Amino acid sequence: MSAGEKLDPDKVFRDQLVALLPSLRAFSRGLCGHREMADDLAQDTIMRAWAARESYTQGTNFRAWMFMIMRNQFYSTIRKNSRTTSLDPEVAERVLVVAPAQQNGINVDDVAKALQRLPAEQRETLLLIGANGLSYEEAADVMGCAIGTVKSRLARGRTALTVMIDGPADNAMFDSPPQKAKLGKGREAAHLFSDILRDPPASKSAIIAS
Amino acid sequence: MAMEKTNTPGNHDEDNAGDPIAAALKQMHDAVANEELPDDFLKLLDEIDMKIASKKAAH
Repeated sequence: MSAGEKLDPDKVFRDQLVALLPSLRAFSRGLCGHREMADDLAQDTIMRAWAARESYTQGTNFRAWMFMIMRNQFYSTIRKNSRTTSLDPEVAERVLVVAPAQQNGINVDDVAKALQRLPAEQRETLLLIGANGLSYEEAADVMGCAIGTVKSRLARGRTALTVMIDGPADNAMFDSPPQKAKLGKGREAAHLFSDILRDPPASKSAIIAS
Repeated sequence: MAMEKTNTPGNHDEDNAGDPIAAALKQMHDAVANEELPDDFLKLLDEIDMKIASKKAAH
């Protein structure tokens, strides 16, 4: 491509999608706790994002925008099912019995199971910040809430997770309030992306055809 | 607390020292992120590529 040739915005958007796919799948897996459902959610997210690509402003926080679409779709699915916060009954049943860590370190599998027992908003906060490395401000943008709410959900999620894994006796170290957050990019994202995907599309093919 | 130092992507390894929950969450993330992309995703990307190509050809 010559220096003066204009970039195809659809191609740029597509390349951003591809680069983010690993993180999208990981966030989805953490939310759903089930591989197939998580990949369905990730694919739905891709299609919705593609359909809404013209509402995304290049140069703004693409990752936060995508994660917001995914979590909105996740909660939309939960509302439709409305019976449980977990999309996977097998996971919900399986994690009812979580054995304490047998060693000094925390077993990753125990964390994964305990994560699915958390309220969804605490789970997504831990995933966004702890697993994906978002700043408080980015997470607030994704979840459409105040930074203080993010901190509160993070602290409560950590406490609950620790209690589930280690038991209440080992929980004291997590009771201290979070320290001051280091704010990062994504400051402008929240007001730009609200409610863009309120109406679910009729079908996958309809989205791609848009 | 390590989990709060989250501004720079990729800084987890240093930050998570001494924070087993944050380290476990990152390990869970990396395990999925390093998986090979399933065919369904590749097909989806192909559809998008075809859409881009057809739009370009129309212009």
